[in-house]
Amino acid sequence: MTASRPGLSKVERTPVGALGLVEPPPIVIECDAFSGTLATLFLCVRESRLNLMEVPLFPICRAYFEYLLNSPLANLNESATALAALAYLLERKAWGLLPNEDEAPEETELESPLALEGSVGLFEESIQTLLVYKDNRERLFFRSNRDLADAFQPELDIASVSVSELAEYFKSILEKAMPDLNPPAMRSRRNLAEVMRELLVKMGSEWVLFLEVLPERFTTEDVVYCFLAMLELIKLGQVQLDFRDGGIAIARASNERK
Amino acid sequence: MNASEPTSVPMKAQLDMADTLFAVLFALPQPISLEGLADTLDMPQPAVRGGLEKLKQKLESDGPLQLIEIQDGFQISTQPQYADVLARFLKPEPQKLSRSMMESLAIIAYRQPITLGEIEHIRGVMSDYSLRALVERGLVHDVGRKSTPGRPILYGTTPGFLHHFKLKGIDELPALDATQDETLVNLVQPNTI
Repeated sequence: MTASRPGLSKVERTPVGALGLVEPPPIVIECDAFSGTLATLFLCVRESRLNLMEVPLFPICRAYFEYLLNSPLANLNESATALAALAYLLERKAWGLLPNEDEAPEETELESPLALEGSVGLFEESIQTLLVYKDNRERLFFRSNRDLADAFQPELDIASVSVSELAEYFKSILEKAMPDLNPPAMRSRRNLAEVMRELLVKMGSEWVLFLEVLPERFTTEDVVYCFLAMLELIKLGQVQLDFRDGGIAIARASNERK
Repeated sequence: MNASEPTSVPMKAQLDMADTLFAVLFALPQPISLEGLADTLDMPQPAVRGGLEKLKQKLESDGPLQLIEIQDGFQISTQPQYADVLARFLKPEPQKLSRSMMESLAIIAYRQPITLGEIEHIRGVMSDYSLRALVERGLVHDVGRKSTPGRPILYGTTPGFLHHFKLKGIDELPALDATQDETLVNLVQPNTI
């Protein structure tokens, strides 16, 4: 990091999951805005992938209480993790419902002997510049993403392989996969675009079985990511499928096909 | 252009590339990187860059749209002179940032990753409210934990922060004065996780 330019020190994700070492129990939440487990809802809110303001609290709390009532011998550690997730969601929702910054509480001064007086003033010029940038940015308008629900989906052109055959093959590969050792909350996120790139590198102009592009000791997660990457590449016209040697084979789409 | 780079794309192809890029960027509701465009279009990055330059010139010379670099990518927006008339239709809600939020945000942007305690150390006041508000606005998020007792959460800016201030990347933050920044370096040591 230079003296005059900001920079980022390298950040490595902690191997401990967001809710600690214990995976929460599969408490299922069903409502219009969200359908899935409490753990998934927690992760989506934490990673700002879901607007918690649109999810009502009642189904979440009801699911948690039903879990407590129906599982009298529930694992205390799992229950505690679920409670932590619920508490987090309740707090986030409460903060979201609080009045805006015009009514922010007066900030308490710290009695720390280490606080350097006036140090925040060192940022003053930069703050003023950022506010100018913000004003300029507010004069620009961008396309909204509200229309994506009806976005056009190109047909999946998978030639001689039927959708049901593809599904059956996917299921058979999943059955051969090794189980994932780490619970979902502890796994680092993978980038689908990178998996797509890796897949393209492994494929050549010759046909190769889908099984052969998976890692040697592939897990369920490996199969899911590779399969999704394959489907995305098919949608982009980069990959073609065929049935060969008793399995699904893939190859880069030919120029003629493109 | 050196021998290792792909052959330059002919002018007509660059114009067609510009139209294709216009269609893609018009449809996308978020910025897309040069790499993302090149991968999706299966074209070399220099060719895509050339097409983007052509598109930028084309839009600037005629019409109400423009191509901007923002949030590590490219996106189409309206030109600023149309802001007032568009605001009448869209009635955007102003996203005000209070003084305390701006201070906390600036400290996080320049010193990230940083803990709440370190932010308060610099500001001299409790900052949990402003930090929560920034998280709610999607401008900052937690990026891990500091490897010190208690393992406090570390915060950094989000891609939304870059978009909010029309920055291409975090390196585009206004430079702090070198002398002043040295004082801050002494105040807050780089964080590790």
